[in-house]
Formats: sequence, C-alpha cells, structure tokens
Amino acid sequence: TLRHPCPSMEVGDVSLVASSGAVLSMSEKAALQSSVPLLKKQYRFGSVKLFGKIKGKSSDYLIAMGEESTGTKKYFFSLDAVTWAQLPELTAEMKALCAKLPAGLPFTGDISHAITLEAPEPAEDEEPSEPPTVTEEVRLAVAVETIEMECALAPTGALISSLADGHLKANPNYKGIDLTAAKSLSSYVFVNCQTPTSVLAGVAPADRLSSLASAESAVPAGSLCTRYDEATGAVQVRSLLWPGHVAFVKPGTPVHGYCYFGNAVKNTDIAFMLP
Amino acid sequence: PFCGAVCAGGLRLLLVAMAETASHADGLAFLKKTDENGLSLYSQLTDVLATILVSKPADALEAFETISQQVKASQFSAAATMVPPMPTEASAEESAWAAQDVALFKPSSEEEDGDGLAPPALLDEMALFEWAGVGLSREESFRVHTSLCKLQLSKKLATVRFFGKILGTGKDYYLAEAKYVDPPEQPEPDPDAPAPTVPAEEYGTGCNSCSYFVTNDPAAPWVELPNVTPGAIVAASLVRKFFTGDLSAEIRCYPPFPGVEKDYLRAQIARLVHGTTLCPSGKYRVSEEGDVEEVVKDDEGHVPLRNGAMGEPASWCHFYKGILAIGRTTNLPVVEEDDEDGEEPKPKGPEPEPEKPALLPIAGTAWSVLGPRHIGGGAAVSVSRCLMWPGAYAAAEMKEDKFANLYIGWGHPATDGINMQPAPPPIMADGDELTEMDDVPLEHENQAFQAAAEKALADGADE
Repeated sequence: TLRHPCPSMEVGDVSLVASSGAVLSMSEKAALQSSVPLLKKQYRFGSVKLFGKIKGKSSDYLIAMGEESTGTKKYFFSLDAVTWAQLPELTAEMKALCAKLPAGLPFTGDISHAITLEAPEPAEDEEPSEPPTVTEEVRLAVAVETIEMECALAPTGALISSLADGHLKANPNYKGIDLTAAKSLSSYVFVNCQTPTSVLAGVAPADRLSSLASAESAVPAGSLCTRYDEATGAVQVRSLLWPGHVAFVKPGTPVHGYCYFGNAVKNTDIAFMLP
Repeated sequence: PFCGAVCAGGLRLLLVAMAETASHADGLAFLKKTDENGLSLYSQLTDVLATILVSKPADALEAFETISQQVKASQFSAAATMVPPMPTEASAEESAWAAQDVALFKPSSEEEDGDGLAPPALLDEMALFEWAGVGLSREESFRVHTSLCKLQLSKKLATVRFFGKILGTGKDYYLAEAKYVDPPEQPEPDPDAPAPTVPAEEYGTGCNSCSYFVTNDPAAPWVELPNVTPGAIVAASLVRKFFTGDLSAEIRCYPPFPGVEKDYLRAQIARLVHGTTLCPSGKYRVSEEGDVEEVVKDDEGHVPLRNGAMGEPASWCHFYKGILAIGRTTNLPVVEEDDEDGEEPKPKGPEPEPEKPALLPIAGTAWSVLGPRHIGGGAAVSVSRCLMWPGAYAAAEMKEDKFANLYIGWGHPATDGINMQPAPPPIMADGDELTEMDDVPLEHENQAFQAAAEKALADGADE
C-alpha cells in the first residue's frame, strides 16, 4: 500500500478538467454514482476518488483510489465503471521488470495479457530459468504509481502533517487561493516529491510538509503549464511530461485535485518539444 | 556552618529560579510576539478565555475553535479602515472574456441570409461521441456550435464542420473545416520568390480542398489558415513541437521548419485530415471524374452497413486520399526528356510513389475499432480510435445513417519511444582541390581602386 496524502479527484469534479479532453461517457458517469459508494462501503474507506483513465488499444481502464483513515491508499481498476478489482501490491522486482519493457508500448485493454521478457543470462552452474513475464495488471499498477509519484500536485496550504505520525493529509482549514496565486506555479507543491536537500544543509527537516518540492522546480522547466479556464472558473495545470495529467484548482474555494486521462506513456521527447 | 548551609541552599534556589525565569521569559516572549496588526498569540488567548468566561457557553470545549475564529474576526485591523487596493489586472481580463462570451450568445441583429448553407452538425456529433467518453463538455460544445454558426453566416460557408481541438502550452486551438459557397480569389504567388521544387496543390483539390479556420476561444474571431505547401508537410513530419497557442510564434527546431506556428498547424491539420478522417464503407464511392460522392440509397447493389458490422475494421474506410512522401496527394505530372537520339524517353527524377486513392479500407493495426454500444431502440454507436494519431476518433450510428470524426489532442502522432531527432550535418571541411596563391600585394590592390577613381574623375570632368 502506498502512503500518500491528498487523494486525487472527486468524481463530480470531472467537469473542471473537461476542456483538457478529460471526459467520462454518460454510462460511466452514471455507473460511478453507484459503484463508488459501494466500493467505499465494501473496503471501509474514508474516501474513494477517481484517479483517471488509462487508455488501451481495445478498451480503457478507469482507475480509482481509496484512502483509509490511516492514510494508506489502495488502487482499483475497472473496465466498465461497475465492477472494480484491486491492483496488485508492487514489489521492487515487479518494478524492475516493468522498467525493462520497451518505452511507448501501449496497453492492450486485456487485463490478463502477458508480455514475455528475455530471460536473464543464467550463471554457470544454474540451469536457464524461465523467461519472466509481466502481466498487464502489474504494468497498470506500476504505471499508476509512477504517475502518482511524479505528477501529483496540490496547492500550498492544502495539506498539513498529521500530529500522530507525520503523514500528510488534507487541511480542513484550507480556504482556497486567489486567482493570481493559482495561475503561478509557485503556489503548487508536488505531493510526493521532496526537495533534494544538499549535503551542506545539515540535518534534514523533520517536517515532511515543508520539504515538499515546489512545482517551480519541475524538471525540465516549462513542463507544467497553467491555464485559466474562464468558462468553469478553474485553473488547470497541465503536465507536458505526462500528457494527459491535469491538476486543477478552483480559486477562492477549497476545491482542488488532479487526474490522469491518457496512455500512460511518458513524453521522453519533451526536451525537444518545448517551444 | 549555618551561613554555609543557607548560602548553599539559596544558591541552588537562585540557580533554579534563574533557569525557570529564563525559560519562562522565553516562552512568554514567544507568546507575546505581535504581528503587523499588533495582535499576538498571548492577546488572542486572553481574549478567547475572557469571552468564554463571560458568556459561559454550555459546550465550551466543542465550540472552542469557533469562538477563537470569531474573536480573530472581530479584532481591529488597520487594513479594514483603508480603501481597498485597485482591482488587479486579472479581474479585468476575466470580465473582458465574460463580455465577449455573452456577445456570442446574443442573436445577430440583422437578418442574415442563411439559404443554401448547411448548418454545422456539431451538437449531433457530440451526442455520438458522448457515448464513447470522447469530446468536450456540453457547455463547451454548445459554445463552439454557436460560434461556428456565426462564422458560417459571416463568411458564407456552404458547409462547416468542427474538426477538433489541439491543446497548446499557452492557449488551445479550436479548428473548423469549411467550404465556401463562392471560393474567394487565391492570392497570386510572389513572382520574386523562387519556385518551390514541389508546387502546392491548387485550392479546391488535394490537401487544399477545404479551408481551415482556427481560434483560441469560441467567443473570439476565427482566423483563416493559409493553404498548405508540400514543403511544410514534409518538414512537419520531421518536427515534433508543442503548440503554444500563438499563430505567429516561431518554431525553434531542427531541421528548421519553413514558417511559423500558423504553417506548422496547417501542415499537421493536413496530415491529420488525410490520415484520420473515416467514413463507413459503402456510403461513398469514387465517381468517373475522380470525386468522392455519396452513394444514393436507391442505387442497385447498395446495401447500407448494419450497426453490428461496424465493429470490424473492414467497415471503415479513409475518406480522403493519402498524402505521399512528396507532401501532396497527387504526383507531379511526369516530364519526359526529349528523345533526341530516338531512344526510350526516360522520366526525370525518381520513380513516383503510387497514389493512395480515397476510400481505402483502414488498416486494422493503425485503428482500434470498438464494437457497437447499444443505446436502446436498436440504435448503437460504434467508435474507432486511431493508434497512430492518439486523439483522433470516428463514430458511426448506422441506423440513423450518421457518422462523425473528431480530434482532441496535442497534434502529434504516436512515437515508439525512440527519439528520431536527426543529427546536424557534418562540419564543412576544406574543399578537395586547394591551390595555394600568394596574397595580392598592396600596390596591386590599390591599383584597382586608383584606376576606378581616376575613371570616375575623368567621367566627371567630361560632364
């Protein structure tokens, strides 16, 4: 399970990201109205939010995120927004295997599809081992965690550290930021990235909250672009490194969140593509 | 001994007292630190406790935070007595957009002649795409629809279609594809400019068969894009840059793109249109003149496809001709050399690529066709999405004989993750034949100038 603070997006906030191409079909919206509360009740989550949609060749996966009261999160996927299945817990071995897959490989849409990788060279005394396989389920879990780790954004002030164990959670006294602040990247922090501390800085700050990396430090510079959508009144922060990731804030209200609607392909050409 | 004991005990007490006062004083000083309004935590706490003790509420513990907030709000703050600062520019921008948008929805004052113009079918098309989870929100679709109607009336466009939306880093582009009732005069090509190696197709044919309009916001005026040239199409296939939303922005890339963002956008639109516009098979056919025309329902042998068949790739075909490697849909007319020696005339240049005719069936690998989703009453919407150009969709509902195409994306084809950035050319070396020459001596150099000056003087003296 992953310990992250701020859950991504309420289902009802999809309208705030629609102008970036992130929409749900009518049947999905209707089905989510009932299947999400059921999921919440079944697993006794404190809240269940929508992470987004990962598109495959023949069908798309809707991803939901359930957060327990202790702050641990679990991810679920669904093909039809009605039945949800939990994504597997990730081990280091799974992540290493997924790293060996060719970049840009699309998801097929069939959750049981398995890709066979080349078997590693066996040592002298050992027999050749079976070539490892990576199932689409594992790939999906790795993709969701990678995107969540690299892209999750929240406005500064929206998170506080829990007094008990220091994990970050939503700040109940957060009132929102104004429009000018919302349009500037300095008002956002990466929820899961710490500012790299230099060796000269001495002891690392005990407070995880203050060491969250600011959105201005995104590499490469210019990979996040803000856009004020006058029609809905929301400010969207689009990621160019993971095209399809949108963080949004409604200035003057505590509404904020992020979601991902895309192929789960990292844009490695970004250095050449930035204007 | 008595004095000694007193002194020892007193010293210890004194030390303890000093230690206590130090921490006590520090703590107190921390609490009494004032902010810009002269309020401190100490004053806040005393005020809250005083309020509670005076009012003695029944649920003091529950209401503690609320009372604290109320006390904070009731404090005097200097800012409240002063005139608030002028509204910032951001609010002026917001109201400008709101005013522009409201003007979009007002009906036009004059009676404009809408005869002969087919209205845009955007709202129907969006209804089709809503089944697939593609498209824009309903409000945005309506806004675009209203804007297209106004564009159509103002420019007298016979047909206008919402092509899609290309996302940009600064602003987005909304794109419309249209055909004029009376096509306007095309500007004459600049006689001084060198003739391009591959001339552009004439307006009304090939890649330039339709006009394209673009805007950053449906409420803003539409700008017509220029015709596309084969050079731009070929260059655009080598370049991969994000759009900024500003039509006159430069494209900084290698190999250099001949033009600004306007030309790059037009070239990508041409590639998208010719690569991703689909129609159901059998609905159109190529006439003898080579035009694509609709097959009339009563024709013999015409069996319209049923909804169930739309889940197969064979039921979809490309509407337009494909673009060749030279950047046009048609090959240039072959210029044959004169056969002076009576030999076989040889065509100049490389073998031309065979043209890709219109209405070719789609490749199953490049498109993913989702079978029909039943929406009741025997009607079903099937959607096929392009894997080569992520964001391009085609939807069809055969019972009502409707189909539509839409693109919402960043404007680039999919890559296989391998960066195809070409390397710059090698640094120029010296030429092969290098002959050494002596430098021209100064007197010889000056001789030429002197002769020219004397000649000028002589000419001047003659006049």
